[in-house]
Amino acid sequence: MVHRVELKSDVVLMGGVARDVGFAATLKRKLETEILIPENPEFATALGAALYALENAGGKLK
Amino acid sequence: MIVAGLDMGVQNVKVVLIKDGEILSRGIAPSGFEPEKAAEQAFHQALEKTGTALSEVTHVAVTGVGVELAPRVDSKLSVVSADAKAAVHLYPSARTVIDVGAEESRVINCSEKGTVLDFAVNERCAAGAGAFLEAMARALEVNLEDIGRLSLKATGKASISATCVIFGESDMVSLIHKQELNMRLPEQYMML
Repeated sequence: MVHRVELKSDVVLMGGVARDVGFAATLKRKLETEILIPENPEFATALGAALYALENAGGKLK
Repeated sequence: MIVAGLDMGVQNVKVVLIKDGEILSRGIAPSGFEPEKAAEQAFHQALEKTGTALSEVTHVAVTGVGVELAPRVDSKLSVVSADAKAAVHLYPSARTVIDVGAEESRVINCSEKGTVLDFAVNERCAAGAGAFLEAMARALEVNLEDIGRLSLKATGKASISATCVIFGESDMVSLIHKQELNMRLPEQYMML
């Protein structure tokens, strides 16, 4: 799937499966690239929605 | 001002609250058969930490497969858009996002502003996604949390022919029973 789009650095891995260190290590090896993983990867999508909510409400991040 | 992002996922419902421009708290609950109740639970969890009520939340933006079941929707956005936004917020240099959830995997190319340039999705098939790992953990009788760590200890690998979760689980069970590869547990994970 990565090759259906373009592999451009930096690469971020998120979603619950990002917590699987084996999955992340295999992906890193196969893609031959460094991978950034956020602290709470399963909340990343909800965070994106929260940022959208903030934009819609006319707020800004500190 | 408090705003919320609600992700109505296949497996879990997640909430992130932002107050006065700062990420305030999070909440999570298993989607189960009543995602609406799960959303209320996740909200309760996130709001409890702040001592506020849902009615005090100015705006709720919703994403995820269960968006129609959300208890409150002020705006909607696609999961792909949400992922791109979050990735660039967390890492301004992010240009490729790989999101692997319970049943869906997505790969997204994004701009420096966090907008989506291109993406690919595996829809409605859990091959290689979280549900697959869950099924394999179940077949191998280990905790889902441990399989990644265990796979790193493998010294060799074996393969299963099916990529489908259902057939893959059946393949795995056959392998375990045959023991023909005389695998130690880590090798069994590695083949995943």
